[in-house]
Parts: sequence; C-alpha cells; structure tokens
Amino acid sequence: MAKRSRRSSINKYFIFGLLITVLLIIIVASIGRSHFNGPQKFGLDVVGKGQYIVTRISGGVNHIWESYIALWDVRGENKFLRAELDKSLLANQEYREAMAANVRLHKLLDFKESIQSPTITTQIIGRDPSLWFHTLTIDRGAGDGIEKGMPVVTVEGVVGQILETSRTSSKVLLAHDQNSAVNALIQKNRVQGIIKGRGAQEYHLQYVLKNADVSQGDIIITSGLGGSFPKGIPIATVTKVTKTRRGMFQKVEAEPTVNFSQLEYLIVILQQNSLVN
Amino acid sequence: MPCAPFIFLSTGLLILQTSLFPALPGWFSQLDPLFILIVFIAVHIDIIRGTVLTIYIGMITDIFSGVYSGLHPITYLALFLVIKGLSRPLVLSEAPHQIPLVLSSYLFVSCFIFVIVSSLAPATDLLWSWPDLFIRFFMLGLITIPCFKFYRFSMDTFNPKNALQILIKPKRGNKFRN
Repeated sequence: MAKRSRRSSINKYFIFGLLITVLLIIIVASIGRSHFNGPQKFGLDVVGKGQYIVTRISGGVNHIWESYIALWDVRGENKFLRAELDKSLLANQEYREAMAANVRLHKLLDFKESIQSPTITTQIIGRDPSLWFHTLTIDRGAGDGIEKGMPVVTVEGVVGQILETSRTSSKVLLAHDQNSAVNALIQKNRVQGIIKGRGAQEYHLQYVLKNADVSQGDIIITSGLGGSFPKGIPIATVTKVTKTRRGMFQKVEAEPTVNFSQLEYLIVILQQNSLVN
Repeated sequence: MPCAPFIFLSTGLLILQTSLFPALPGWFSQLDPLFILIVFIAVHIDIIRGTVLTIYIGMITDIFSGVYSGLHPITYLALFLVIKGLSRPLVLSEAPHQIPLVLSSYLFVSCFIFVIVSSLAPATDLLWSWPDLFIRFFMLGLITIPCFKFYRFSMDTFNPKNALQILIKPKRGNKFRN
C-alpha cells in the first residue's frame, strides 16, 4: 500500500518535471524569434477577442458614466445660464419699459408746459365694464382740486371731461361716449360744430352747414367755446363727409386722435378758482 | 343666508371687472361675473335679502359705470323681480337652465338700459351693436356654470347653519330610529 502511494507520487513529480522541461524548451526556443508561433497566435486571438469585448463593455460603461457625470455638469451649467438669460431678459425688458415710460412722460411734460392753465397728471385706475357707457376712474379727486366738468386731455388730444369726483378719485366721461359733446372747429377754415361721441372709436361733427368746405383728413380741434376746453387741442381727423339732399347740415364722421384703449396717464386741466379753494 | 359675504363678493368682483379684466387680452376683457352673480341672487336668495343685494350691486355699479345715477339699481331690480316671478313656475334653479337664463337676462338688461337711456336723453344716439352683444353672450356663456358653482359653494360655505354643522359633531348610530 505504502509502495503504491510512493510510486504514484514519483509519477506525479516525473510528469510535472517533464512538463516544466517542455515548457522551458519552448520558452528558450522562442527567445529571439520575431514572430509568434501557432499557439501564441491562437492565444492572442482568443485573448484579443476577450480583451476586445471587455474593452468595448468597459469603454461603453465608462462613456455612459462620463456622459452622465458630464450631463450633471451641463445641467447645472444650463440652469445657471438660463437663470442668467432670464435675468438679462428681465433687465432688458425693464430698461425698455423705463425708456418707453420716459419718452411718454417727457412728451406729457412738454405738453403740460405748453398748456397755459394749471394742470395735474393722473393715472387711470379703473375702466367702465359696461357695454353702453365709456367712463374711466382716475387716481386724483376733489382733494387735488379736480372738479366736475374739467377737461381731461393727453398728448394726442382730448380724452373727455370730469363727470364725478370724490376726495381721492374721479370719474371721467370719455369723449367717444354717446353722452359727450365738445365744441370744436375745423383747423383749416375755422368751421365750427359740436363733436359727439358714437360709442365706438368714432365721432360725429354735428351742425356743420352744407356749404362749409370739409374734406377727408381735415383736423378737428377744440374751439374754446363754452370755457371748458382750452382752444386748439386736437380732437379728431375727418374720415368721411356725406351731404344728403335734405337738411341744412352735412354729416361729418371723424376718427379720434386718441386711442382710448391705450390710455395710461392723463392730464386734467384745472381752473384757477379750484386752486384758490 | 346673510348678505355680508355677497356684499364683499360683489364688491371684489366689481373691482376686478374695472381694474384687472380690462387689462386682459381680447375678449377676456369683457368677462362679467358680477352680472352672473345678480342672476344667481335672483334665483337662489329669498326676495328680501335678494332685493337688498340687488340694489347694493346696482348702486356700486353706478359709481364706476354709466352716466345716469340710479340706472343700474332700477335695471337690476327689474331683472331680479322678473327672474323671481319666473323662477317658481319654470324651476330656473336647475343647472340646464343656467346659461339660457343668464343670456336672456343680459338681453333683457341691455334692452332695458337702451330704452331708459333713449327716453332719458333723446339726443343721445345709443348704438345697438349685435356683434358686441354676441361677444358678451359668448363670454357669459363660457363662465356661467363655473360662476354658479363658485357662488353656490360660497353660499354654502358662509351659511351659518353649515358652519354650525362643522363645529358640532353629528350623532352616531341610526338617525332614523327616533
């Protein structure tokens, strides 16, 4: 039994020694050769394939990881840039608005200075929601010297008249309301009439005799009669003239110089006595 | 149902309608939830409180709208009485009637104002514009049902009975036994 086991261990050592010897011979024989032998080529192919696969997988994972990490950076950068862009747009918008307000107020100031009577600048705080009437509410009232009937104008022309006042605010009847009437004249030939509102953005110049020379494009201004509006403030431009066979007067339609839907700041022309009070 | 919540609600709506809505683009500037509130009051609130509320809404509308003092209270009161008269036989409180009721009420109010103003100031050429009226009808039709739901919710919420029910826990067990 002991003999058999000793023989087998001797066999093992012999085989091991043989293998080592063959291996050494192969190694020694391959030293100095410039090209691979068959097994080396086979090994290279197999391992190469494996390397290729592993490299592709690891490369892919690495790429995904790097992209993901990079995406985080890009996302952060994108967020930051968007915030910066929003800030810049807002600032730009504010500058534009400030510029526009500056131009508008500058015009208003010039216009105010051109009016002889004392004036007060007001802002619109409310509009009439009704389908039938056209009024506005402004942020100045009797406490500021505003009284019923005072004219309300803007750089473009006549806006309306004060209808009612409270201490801090007033109601303005717009000139294009059907209940409004303003004494007017045609600038070129001083033909007089009364401008009546038509509800929509339209006026009628009433009581103009048929023989008066009125044509499309003529400018209508306040006549100063009645003492409410100062003379010479633009009201409208003539758009259509109709002469019927009957009646004494011609029908004159006119377009307001003021765009009533875009009003913001208004000027109320005060009277001397209200300031004294 | 007390009047106070509706007084606050109508005042708030009027402020919105005169300051915020005109700044909205296009047809949205012509939204009129206050008018729907008047119709709602006429349908759902009893005659005494309804009259008080209708006159109040008419009076505050007069401050911000129109030229003739007292026109809106009279017009809204007339509308209130007409709806009150019709609401019992026609069951106007039902949901399918809401839009036709609001639109016909608006037509009634428009005609009423047109006739009154034309007779008060014959020289005034009041312009009857169907296109403008149809835009108003469309916008009213659009918001009638949500407005009715909101007003109903407000009425239920501010009802003192409901408030008490929230505070007092209901009794458990079979409520039909006794």
